Amino acid sequence: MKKIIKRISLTLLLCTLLAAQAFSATWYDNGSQRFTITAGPTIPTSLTLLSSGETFTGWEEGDIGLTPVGGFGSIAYQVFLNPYLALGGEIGYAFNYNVDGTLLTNVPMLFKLTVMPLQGRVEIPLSFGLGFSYMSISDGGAYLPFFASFETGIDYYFTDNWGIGLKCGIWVIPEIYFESSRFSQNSLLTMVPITLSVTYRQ
Amino acid sequence: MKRTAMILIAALALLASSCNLDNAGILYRGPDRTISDNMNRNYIGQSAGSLFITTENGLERIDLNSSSFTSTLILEDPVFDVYLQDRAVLDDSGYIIYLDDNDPEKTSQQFYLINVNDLSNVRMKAVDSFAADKVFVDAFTADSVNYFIAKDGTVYSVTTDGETVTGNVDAGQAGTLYSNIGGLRIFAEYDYDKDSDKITNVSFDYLGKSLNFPDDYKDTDLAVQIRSVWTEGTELYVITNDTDYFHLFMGSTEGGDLTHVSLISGIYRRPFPCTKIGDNIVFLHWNGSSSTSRLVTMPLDGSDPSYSTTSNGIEAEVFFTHNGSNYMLSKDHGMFQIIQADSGYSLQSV
Repeated sequence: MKKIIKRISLTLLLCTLLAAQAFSATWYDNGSQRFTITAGPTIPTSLTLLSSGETFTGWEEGDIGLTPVGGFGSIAYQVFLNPYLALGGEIGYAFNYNVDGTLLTNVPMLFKLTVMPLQGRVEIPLSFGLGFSYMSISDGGAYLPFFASFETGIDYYFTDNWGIGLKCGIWVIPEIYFESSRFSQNSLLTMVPITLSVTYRQ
Repeated sequence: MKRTAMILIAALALLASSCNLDNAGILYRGPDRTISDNMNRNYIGQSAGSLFITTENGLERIDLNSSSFTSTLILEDPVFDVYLQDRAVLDDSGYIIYLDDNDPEKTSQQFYLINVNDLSNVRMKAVDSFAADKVFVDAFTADSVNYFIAKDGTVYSVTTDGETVTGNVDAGQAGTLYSNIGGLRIFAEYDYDKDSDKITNVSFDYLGKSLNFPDDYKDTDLAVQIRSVWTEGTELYVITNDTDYFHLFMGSTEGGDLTHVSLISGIYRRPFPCTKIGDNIVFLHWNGSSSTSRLVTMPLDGSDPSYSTTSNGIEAEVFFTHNGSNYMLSKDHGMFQIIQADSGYSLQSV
C-alpha cells in the first residue's frame, strides 16, 4: 500500500514539475469552456477512525471493509476565468462493494477549479474539487459528507476541440458527526481514482 | 469578505452535520464487515468447553476455550449431507442424539448416537428408534431437558445411556399439529397447503400447558406469525411477527395468559432464535430481501425497543453464554460477541 501511495505521489509531483516548466503559449481565453466526461476504476486506500486514530489499509476482512476496485463516472463543465484558470462544477456517481457484498455509493457534487499550466495539443490540468457527496450504503445508512478531490494527468487533443485524457488523483471523504454520542463513528476515507476522460473545449 | 467566508463555511458545516439521513454510521463499520463463509451452521448443543454444530462438511466442534473460537471437523459422514435444522440434541452423558432426514414420505426415522466424550475418537452408530412408527419434526433443549416432537404433535423427553435412546411422552396430542416453535405447539384445522385463510380452531400450548394470547392478538393469523420462543425457568417469552411488527409477549411455561410487552417494526418471514440478556429479549432481525440485519433489544419493562444495525446478510443460528459473556453464532458469518451499546446491544465479530 505504501508503495502504491509513493508511486502515485511521485507521478503527481512529476506532472506538477513538468507543468510548471511548461508555461508558454496559451490556448484558452477568458470565457473559454471545457466539457468533460470521465469514467474509470477507484481504489480505496485508507480508512481512519478519527476517535481512536486507527488507520486501516488493505482490502481483506478486518481492513477498510471495501473490495479493491470500484467504479466512477462523472460529467464536468468549466469556464475559464483567465487563460490558466477554469472554474466550474462536476457531478458523478461512484460505487464500491464491501467485503460482505453491500454496496457503497457516492454521488459527489463539486465545485471544480482547474489550473492549466501546460496547454495546447497536450495539456496537464491540475484540478481541485470541493463539495458534498450523497453517500449511502445498501444495508442502511445515508449521509451527505464533505468531499474533496485532487487530480492530474495528461490530455491529448486529436483535434482542436476534442481530446482524451488519463487522470489519477485522490479523494478525501470525511464522515463527521457532531453529536458526542456518535464521535466513535467519525471516519475519514481516501480513494484513488484512475480515469479516462473525453473533453470538448472551445 | 472574511465575514461572508465565515458564514459560508458555517453554513456548509451545518448542512453537512444536519444531513445525516439515517441513524447508522456508514464508513466506521467497514473493518467489522465479514465475508459470508457459506458454512450454513446448524446448532446441536453446548457443553462446558464446546459448541457442537453441523455444517455441509460434517460434525464440527467449536472450542470455546480458544481465543478465536476455533472450529474443528470431528466427524464426516454422508448422513450430514442432508441439510437438517433442529434434528439433534446433546445429552448430558456426552452423546449427541441425531435424527436423519425426515422426508415427509417416511414413516420412521433412523436414530444415531454420536459419542463426543473422547474428541480424538468421535464415533457414530445407528440405534433403534424408541418410537419406530414416528417421524420427528423438531429436537430442542429447554431447561436442561431434551425434547423431540413427533409429526403428530406428541412431545417426548429423551435421554440416552450410550447404547439406546429412551423417550417418554411429555405431552400428548391435542389436535392436529400445525407447527411448532421451540416447544410452543400450535394446533389447528387446516387444508393441505396451509392457506392461512382456512386455518380454524387454533390453539396454543407450551409442552402441553395451554396458552392464551391477549384477545387483541388472537386470530387465525397468529398461527403463522409465531417466530421465536425463549424460556428461563418458568419464564416464557414469545416473539410474533405480523405484516408490520415484531410483538413480544411474556407468560409462564406453566401455561395461562400471555401479556403483550412491546412491539417494533420489521418483517422476518421464518423462525429465528432469541435470548434473554439482563431484563431484555434480544434477537437478530435479518431482512433477507434487502440484506439488512439489526440486533433488536426489547426491554421487558415495556419501554421502547432499540436496535443496532450490523453488517449485511448475517442470520443468527443460536445465542449462547460462555464465561459470563453473551455470544451469537451466525449461519454464514462466524461468531459474534454481544456487547452493551449506547442503547441496547450490538454485535462485535470474534
